[in-house]
Parts: sequence; structure tokens; C-alpha cells
Amino acid sequence: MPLLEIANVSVRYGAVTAVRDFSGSVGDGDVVVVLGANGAGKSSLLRSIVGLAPKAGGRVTFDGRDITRWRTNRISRAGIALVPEGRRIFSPLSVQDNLLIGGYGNTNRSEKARLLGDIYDRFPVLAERRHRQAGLLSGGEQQMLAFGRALMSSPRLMMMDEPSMGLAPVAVDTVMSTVQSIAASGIAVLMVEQNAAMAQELATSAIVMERGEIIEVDSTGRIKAGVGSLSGFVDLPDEPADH
Amino acid sequence: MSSWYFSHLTLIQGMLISIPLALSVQIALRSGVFSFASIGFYGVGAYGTGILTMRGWPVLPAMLLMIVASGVVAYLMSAPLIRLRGLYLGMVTFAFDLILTVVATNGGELTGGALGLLGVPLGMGTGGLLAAALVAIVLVSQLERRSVGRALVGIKASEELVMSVGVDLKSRKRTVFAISAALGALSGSLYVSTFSTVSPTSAGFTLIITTLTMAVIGGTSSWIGAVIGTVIITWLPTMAATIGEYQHLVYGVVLVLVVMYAPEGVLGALRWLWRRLAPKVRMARPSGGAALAATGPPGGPPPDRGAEAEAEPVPADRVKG
Amino acid sequence: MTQQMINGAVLCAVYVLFSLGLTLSWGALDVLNLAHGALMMFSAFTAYVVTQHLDLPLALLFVIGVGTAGVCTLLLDVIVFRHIRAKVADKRQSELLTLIAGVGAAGIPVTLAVAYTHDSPFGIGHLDWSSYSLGGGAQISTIQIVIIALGAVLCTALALWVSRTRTGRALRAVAFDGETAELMGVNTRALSAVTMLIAGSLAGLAGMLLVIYLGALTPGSGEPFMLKGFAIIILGSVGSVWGTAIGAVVLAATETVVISQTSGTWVDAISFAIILLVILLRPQGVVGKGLAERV
Ligand SMILES: Nc1ncnc2c1ncn2[C@@H]1O[C@H](COP(=O)(O)OP(=O)(O)O)[C@@H](O)[C@H]1O
Ligand SMILES: [Mg+2]
Repeated sequence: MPLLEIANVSVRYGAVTAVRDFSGSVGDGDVVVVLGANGAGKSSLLRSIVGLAPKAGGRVTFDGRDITRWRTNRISRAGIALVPEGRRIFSPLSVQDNLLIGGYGNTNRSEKARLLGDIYDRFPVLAERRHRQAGLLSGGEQQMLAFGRALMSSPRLMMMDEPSMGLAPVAVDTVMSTVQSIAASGIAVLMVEQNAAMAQELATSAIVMERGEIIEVDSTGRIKAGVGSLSGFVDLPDEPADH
Repeated sequence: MSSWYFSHLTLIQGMLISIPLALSVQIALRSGVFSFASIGFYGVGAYGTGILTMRGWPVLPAMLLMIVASGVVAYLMSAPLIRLRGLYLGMVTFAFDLILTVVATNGGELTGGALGLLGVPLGMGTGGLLAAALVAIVLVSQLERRSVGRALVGIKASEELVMSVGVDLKSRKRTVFAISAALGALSGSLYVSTFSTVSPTSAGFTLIITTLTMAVIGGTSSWIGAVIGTVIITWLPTMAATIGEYQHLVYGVVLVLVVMYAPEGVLGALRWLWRRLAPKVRMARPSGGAALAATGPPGGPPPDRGAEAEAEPVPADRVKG
Repeated sequence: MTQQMINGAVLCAVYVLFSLGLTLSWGALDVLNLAHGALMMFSAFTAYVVTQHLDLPLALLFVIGVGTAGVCTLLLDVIVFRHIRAKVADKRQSELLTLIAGVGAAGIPVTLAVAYTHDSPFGIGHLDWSSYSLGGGAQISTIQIVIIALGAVLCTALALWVSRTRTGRALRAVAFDGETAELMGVNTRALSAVTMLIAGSLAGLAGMLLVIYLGALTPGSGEPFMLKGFAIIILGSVGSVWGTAIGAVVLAATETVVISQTSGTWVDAISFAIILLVILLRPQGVVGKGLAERV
């Protein structure tokens, strides 16, 4: 049984249907990439999985448990972390406080301290600036903080919503290698990206969305550049970042 | 009929006096100016008119002076005030009202201290009150109807849009502020010349609650809402004789319920009803509405634009779209 | 002089307790609860009603009074404010509706108290406290000591809670971005419930201490407190614990001086004047930083 199973999920905002009848799954060790143009419903999909966007129908199962109606904080504690679009770090709080909030569900102090140490080892910039206000970090550093914060909950599945959005090329490389190392450490990844290169290098399978619906699934292995309708999306110019 | 009229005279007079005050809050809220300042100017109008008429002024000039003076003072005061975010403006004007009650209490002989003014010459018949209420209604409804009014309404709907259209937002808000104050002063002047007394608590917390309830219950999107609200709040206690001393408790509960379940007020509910019925009415005229409906997505929401435009006498919320 | 400082300190402590509740819910949850003052009065009123029928020890009266305000505030949040927040997406509109609902809700306890007492002062007894002489004719009573100590201790405790603890950190996160805090595993509903309960209880405590200290309150006692509390919070920045303490010191000191210099009826005008001045000159507050920006 796959780790995350999404069955016929729809998301509606009043009149707008953002996701229609989406089905798919993510297994342990998978890196699933969701591709699609702006407004295709990718963010809505991720947000509906963690209960931040209203599900108009369908079922979400995680680790054999039906989490469709669970509240967001419970889903987070169950082992799904979402690195949200635009990072959404707590900018007035210190870097360390941001990380500690990430591990909020974990009340075991010593384990939390160990996790914090791991993350500082993995991202030395964060260790250097641990007492700085998070809002003062650069875009790339903030993305690292967002990853670190998500890792603090020791998730089994990490979802990422356009982690390279609005970053300088160097920072994008760092993001890519970070995602790779996260996947390598055994955490399943469900990632939304518009960056073609990134998708090609990392994905074990890819899903292409258009206007809320799946129009193509490639689960055979690595995606080849220019395959089918994929090229139509991955070459889209990046939207300006931030909201 | 006439015996009913005389036994309810106080209520009728109270209702007519309340109409300009409810309008003063409604026009402010409608424009996105969350201000209680008009309640303070109600006190200013009541005290000012009372003091002047007790010193031999005729009623009308005294009233006019207070109304104009309040409008002017409010206009001047509004310059720093309208910069404030909603909540802060609310609290500042709240503070303004209460500071006036302190001033009135400490005014010595002039304001009569804690007891207030007693024995102010009577100068208002019901006819005069009716005329004043009508003047206020006509003024506000015309403001809403005319292009100035539309811009005022626009302030709430979309500040950016209105600005891009080139309307000077600040001066619009300041005008609203001044008109609201003048309406408050009018109401206070009417009160003191009808009931011949005013005290520091007259323009206090209870009046704020009552007036806010009137405006919000009726619906702040149009003057009609303020009038509906005033009528309801005036007659509610007589309808349910048992309310008695629990009147303000009922207001409180009603206010909370309206905010929770019908933030558009009675007027909003009526409009909603009308919108439900409107398509049936329109069936007979298959021109505009039908064409619009065809462009909507199948199964989507009813494209209500046409209905709204026809249903609303005031183009209130359309600025959004 | 010493006596005036003692009186000022007591006043300050009551202001701190009252305003902390107000600033906590406003800073963390964007709820400016205009029923806070009415509920402060209502805590003392409930205790008063209880004393009319039962002879309970003072400690139990405190539990009842504080609990009443705490639970009423919690219910108000769960039933009304949360409903508005969930239903109205636009933040300004939701703030406005919250404010109006608070005004409406305030009418309920006030009317109940007016009806029961016929709008006259009520007290709960316990007026005889031993006094200690401090020389120079100045005296301090046990209840004054208790009030000052409670103000200082609870203010410090709250500041430490917000800045040092796991839940306090979560509260600061919620104050900045509730949705993302929830995403991190923070049960924002439970946390806001706890926050409202604390906020209301602080109002209740202020009300109980006040009714014992002054001997009596009236059904209308809550209103001026709303404005004093608002002035204090504005002075100290919304959501700031130490800012609130400083704001309370300033207001209490000014009022104490004015009382000693004038006939006293002008005292209520001070907080209004502070509000007018601060908001017009420096709306972001004079001292302290908001809740999310540390204490
Ligand atoms: N909170 C919301 N309220 C209303 N509509 C929304 C909301 N969020 C997204 N939408 C709409 O849903 C559609 C999908 O948006 P989104 O999921 O953000 O797409 P993507 O992430 O692929 O760019 C868009 O048409 C967008 O306008
Ligand atoms: Mg997106």
C-alpha cells in the first residue's frame, strides 16, 4: 500500500473548481513531481491534502489511515510536512524559534535537540544566524529555513510547493541538492515545480495538471525532456515570486 | 387613530429624532469609515442648542448654528483621523465621545454638571421632526444616488479602483465625516428641543450601542437600512411588552446575531429575497439577463450581475466587479 | 507622597491585569474584544449575586468570579468571534464585525447587572484588611499588597510564558501567521481557546480585586476601563506584555497626579486624551514591540 493515496479529490472555492477528481499516490522513496501552468490547481491540491483548502469530495489516505477530514495540525503530527508556496517563514521570530515551531508536535526535548543539531549540520548558514530575525535572511536562506522547519517534524512525506520560485540560479541549485538529499534520507517527496531541469533530475514519476485535471501521468521512470505535452508546461517562464 | 397617535407620541418623536442619527452612522459605515464621532456631535448639538435657546435664541438659528459648526469642526478634525485604520478610528472616536461626556460633567453652570440641562425651551412639534427626518433622508439618499455618492460608496468597495478612477479618496472621506457629524448634531438638537433636557450620559455608551444596532440591523448599504433599523428598534420594545428593563440585552443579542448570520442586515435579506425572485420576474423580458446567463459556466453560480444591477436602486457593490 | 505612590501602584496593578487580557487576544488573535470591560464588571457582579444567597469563603468567590469572566470570554470567542473569522475572509471587515459583536455582547452582562441591582453600586464585602504604617502618615493594607504583588507576578509570568515556553512561541507564530502555525502542528483552535480563557480570567481577576479594594462597582464600571485599557495598549504597542506594563504605569501615574491636583472629575479624560494623542501622533505605539516581535 502506498504511503499517500489520493482518490478523486476535488477542490472548490465557491464557483471556481481548482482541482477536479484528482487521483494519485506517493510511495515510500518516491519523488513525485506535479507540473502545470499557473492556476492549474497544484497548490490547491497540496493544500487540500493537509486540510488547508476545502475538499469538495474524494478521500486522502496516509499510512493506511483516512485523513480526509483531519484538521491540519493533526495531519502534520501524523507525518506530512508541507513547505508552502512563498515559504511563509515567521519573519519576526528568530531562526531558531522558526525551527522549534517546526517541531511543535514533538514534545521529546532531547530528540528535538538532536533534530535541531542535525539541521544545523545540514544547513550551516542557519546555525550561524540562529538568533537573527528570520525575516532578515536572504531568499535562498529562507528556503533552507523552510526546509529545516519542515524537517523538524521528522516527516515521512514532505510536500513542497515551488521551492525554487523566485530564487537566484545558485540558490536553485542548492534547493535541488537539498531535495535530493531529503529524498535520499528516505523521506517521500511530493513536489510542485515549474522548473523543468529540476523535475527531470529528481522525479521518479510526474503528473501534469491543467485546469484542475490530470492530463498526463508518467510513472515509468525519469521524465525525458520534451515528452508529450510536458514540454508545453515546463518551458513556461517563471512567475515573479512572492505574494 | 388619533388616540393611538397621542398615546404613542413619545415613541413617534423618538423615532423621528433617531433617524438622522442612524443615518449618520450608516453613511459612515457605508463609506468604510468606522466612526462613532457623530454620537459625540449628537451631544454637541443637544448641549449647544439647549444652551443657546435657554439664553433666548430662537430654536431654528440655534440648531442651524450647531449643525453647521459641527460639520465644519468635524471636517477639520477629520484630516488626521481618516489616516487611521478602521479599528483605531473606531476607538479614537469612541474616546472622543466619552471625553465630551467628561467635559459636559465638568462644564459647571454652563452645562449643568452631572444633571445636565433642564428646562430647555420646547421648540419642536412632530411636524418639525418629521420635516427634519425627511430632509436628512433626502440628503443621504441623494448623496447615494448622485455620482458623489457613488464615489463615497466606492471607498468601501475598492479603494484602489476608486483612486484609479481619479476620485480624491481623502476629501471624500472627510466629506462623509462632516456630513455624519452634521446629522448627529441635527439629531441632538431635535432631541433637546423636543424633550427639553439633556445630561452627560445622554450621548454615552448606551446611545452608541442603540444607534449602531439601528444601522447594522437595517443594513448599512443604503439609507433604507438605517430607516428600517430605526423603526424596528423604536417599536421592538412595545411589540414585546415583557422586554422592559431587558431591552438592551435584547439589542445586544440581536446585534450579535445579525453580525453573525446577516451582516448585510434586514436590507441584505430583502435584497437576497428579491434576487431569488428577480429571475422569475425577468423571464418575461428575455433580453439582457438571458444573454448574460449564456456566458456563465454550466452548473456554475447564477451570473447575478444583471439581477443585481436591476435589483439595487443604488449601485453599491458593483464597483467591485 | 508615599501614600499617593501606593495608591498609584495599586491602580497600576489593576490596569495591568485588565489590559494584559485585552492585548493578548488582540495581539495574538486579532480580536479586540469590546466586551472585556463588561465582563470584568460581570465577574464581580456574579460574585455579588452569589454572596446574596450563599456564605462562601473569599477564595471560592474569586474562583467563581474569575471563572465566570474567563468562561464567558471563551464562549464569546468560540460561538461568535470564531464564526466571524471563519465566515469573513476580508480582515478589515472581520475586525469591524468582531468589534460590533463585542459591543453587542457587552450589552448582555451590563443589562443583567442593571436589572438585578437597579443600576446601583454593589459590593461583596471583605472590606476589613489590616494596615501597616509606612511612616509619614502613609499606610498600606494587605489587600493593596496583594493587588500589587499579583499585578507584578502575573505580568512577569505572562511575559515569560510568551517568550520562553513552547506554547508561548506557538502563540507568537499564530500572531504572525495562524495558517502556517497550524501547518507546523500547532492546534490553533485549542491555543486560541486557552488564550481567550486567560484573557477573560485576567479581566475577571481585575474585577474581583477592584470590587474588594473599592468596596463597590456599578454595572457601568466596565466602560471607562475599556478606554483606559485601550489607551494603555496603544501606549505600549498591541500584544506587547512589557509595553502594557509601561503603559499602565504611565496612565496610573498621570491619573494619580491629576486626582491629587484637581477635584477628580477630570480623571477619566486622561485616558481619552492619551488615546487621541498617541493614535494621532504615533499609531504604532510608543514603547515595546508587538507580540510576534518578541514579548
Ligand atoms: N483561496 C482561494 N480562493 C478562491 N480561489 C482560489 C483560491 N486559491 C486558488 N484559487 C483559484 O484556484 C485556481 C487554482 O489555483 P492554485 O491552486 O493556486 O494553482 P497553481 O498553484 O497551480 O498556480 C486558480 O484559478 C485560483 O485563482
Ligand atoms: Mg501555486
